[in-house]
Amino acid sequence: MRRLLIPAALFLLLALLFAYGLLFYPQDSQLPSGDSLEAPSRVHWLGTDNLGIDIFAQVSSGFFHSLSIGLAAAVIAFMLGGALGVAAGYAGGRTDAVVEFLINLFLSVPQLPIMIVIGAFFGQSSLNIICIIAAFSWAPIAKQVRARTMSLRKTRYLILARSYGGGLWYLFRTHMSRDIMPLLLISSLAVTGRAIVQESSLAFLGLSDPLAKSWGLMIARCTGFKGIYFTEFWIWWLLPPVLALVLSVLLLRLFSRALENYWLGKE
Amino acid sequence: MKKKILLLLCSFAVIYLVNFTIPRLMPGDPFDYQSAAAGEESSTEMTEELKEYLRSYYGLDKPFFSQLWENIKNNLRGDLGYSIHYKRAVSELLMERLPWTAFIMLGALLLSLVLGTALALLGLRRKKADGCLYALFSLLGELPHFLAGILLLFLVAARVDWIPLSGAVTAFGIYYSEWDWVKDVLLHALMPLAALTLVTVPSFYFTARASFLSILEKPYILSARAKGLGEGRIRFHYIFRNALPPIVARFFLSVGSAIGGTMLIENVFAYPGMGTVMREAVKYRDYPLIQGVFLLSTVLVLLSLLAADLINAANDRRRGASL
Repeated sequence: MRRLLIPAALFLLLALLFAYGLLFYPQDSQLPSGDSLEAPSRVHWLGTDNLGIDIFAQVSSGFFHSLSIGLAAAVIAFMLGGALGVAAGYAGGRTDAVVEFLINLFLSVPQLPIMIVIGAFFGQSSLNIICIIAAFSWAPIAKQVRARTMSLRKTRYLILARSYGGGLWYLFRTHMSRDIMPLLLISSLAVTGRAIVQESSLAFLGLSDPLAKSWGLMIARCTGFKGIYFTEFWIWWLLPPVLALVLSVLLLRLFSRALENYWLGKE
Repeated sequence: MKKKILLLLCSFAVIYLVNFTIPRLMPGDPFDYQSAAAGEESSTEMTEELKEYLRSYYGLDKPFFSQLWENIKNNLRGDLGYSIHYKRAVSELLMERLPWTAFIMLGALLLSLVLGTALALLGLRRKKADGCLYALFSLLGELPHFLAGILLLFLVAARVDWIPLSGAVTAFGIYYSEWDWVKDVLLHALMPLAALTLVTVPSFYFTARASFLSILEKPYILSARAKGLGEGRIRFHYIFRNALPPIVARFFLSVGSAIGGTMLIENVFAYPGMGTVMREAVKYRDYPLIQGVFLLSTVLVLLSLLAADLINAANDRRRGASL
């Protein structure tokens, strides 16, 4: 239980800090508010970037940008993976064969290259990024859910309920969701963290929404700044987005792992 | 096994088709883009007639299926088309870039394999080390590939004089011997290799650890101990050799994510592999080149998945025979 609460509390703390940065912090995340490359000070908590835009404000808005992309992708993957997994596991036969093929197909494609290809061609809006990430995250979820549903289908209580004429939705609600929901939620939570990483990877390659202040974009702009390695500017320009990214991904991961132990009672 | 191969072939067919279709669904084409990217590549705006001519020159005005058929025929001949941006044959370009990417990727995977297995072996003997490594690798496994590269670039490469920041060889370098060249290449590969290894070691460690632990529970280990065999013999012949197949399979399963990781890390260090060429290709909407990079990486990944399946199948057969 403590293992569950600590990452959750820390993540909440991080969210509150960035919420302050987004809502009450006086500097803007889009417009210059000081000289370029100012060191951290009272006015600019983490200094400014080459355009004089406050870094703390950028990191804060980046947090909500990344988190919302991660959550949106996770929700889509949750629904797609859950629906297809349950349908395939329950129906069996031809449906199962088709879904299994789709799962294997999506699992065998090298993810980053195809994301680059699709991202490059479908344009660089946040909505597209969400769809791309979700499209390549549902397969592992569906695989797990399918396996679980298949084993559930053989239980006596389900056979009985089905023989009384229970429909799939009824059976899912009353007999299967208790087993499947935790699995589904945990894997979707894992998708959130991975989606944040993937979004920032795509942003780093310049394939994310160029107007959104995402962490990947900040990192790309900083590393693209000529000779930045030889100055000390990178300490306040590069480290904040990097640390924020690593920290939030790690906390999410720890949380989902603790949840897994708590619910599924794994070692 | 036949089913697996069939599945991989089907996957390949679907991916091939998607890869072929996507660029043609998009609005605009390279010629619109080239004439619009003023100042960068061509500063003249193309007339409609010129665009028409170029479209027919590159075969982009033909119907979909005849383009597809042409494409398949050409690819079978090893012709992946002609890069619109680089103005060279795609296959030639990729053959130039592939060795660098393969070098980084396979090198890092091999390093991870050796390191991960060695550390897992160490963890078997020392429980404390195992605890530390498990926690450390759980964290490290979450590190995004490009961040590993960036952190190494800023924290190590920029501080240490003799580590180059980018490229695969010294620009305009003059070498007095073959050995000099090898040294230069290795030095340039050091950081990308380290970055990729850092991120891939954890999965090897976990696989090796699980594999060793499952072997340790086997009755034949107990019987070997009861026979009074030497600890070294038990370790090597009984544990290590039986635990190896899943670890080797992990090597091939890792290619999929490692290829993406290599592409990202290459962009951090401006390493002249497929990742950097992919980024350029995307920037200039260079269809044939994007398709070529994607096709090549897909083939590599599917082949390595096949290899992993073969290893697992062989291992299962052996297990089955020994039961």
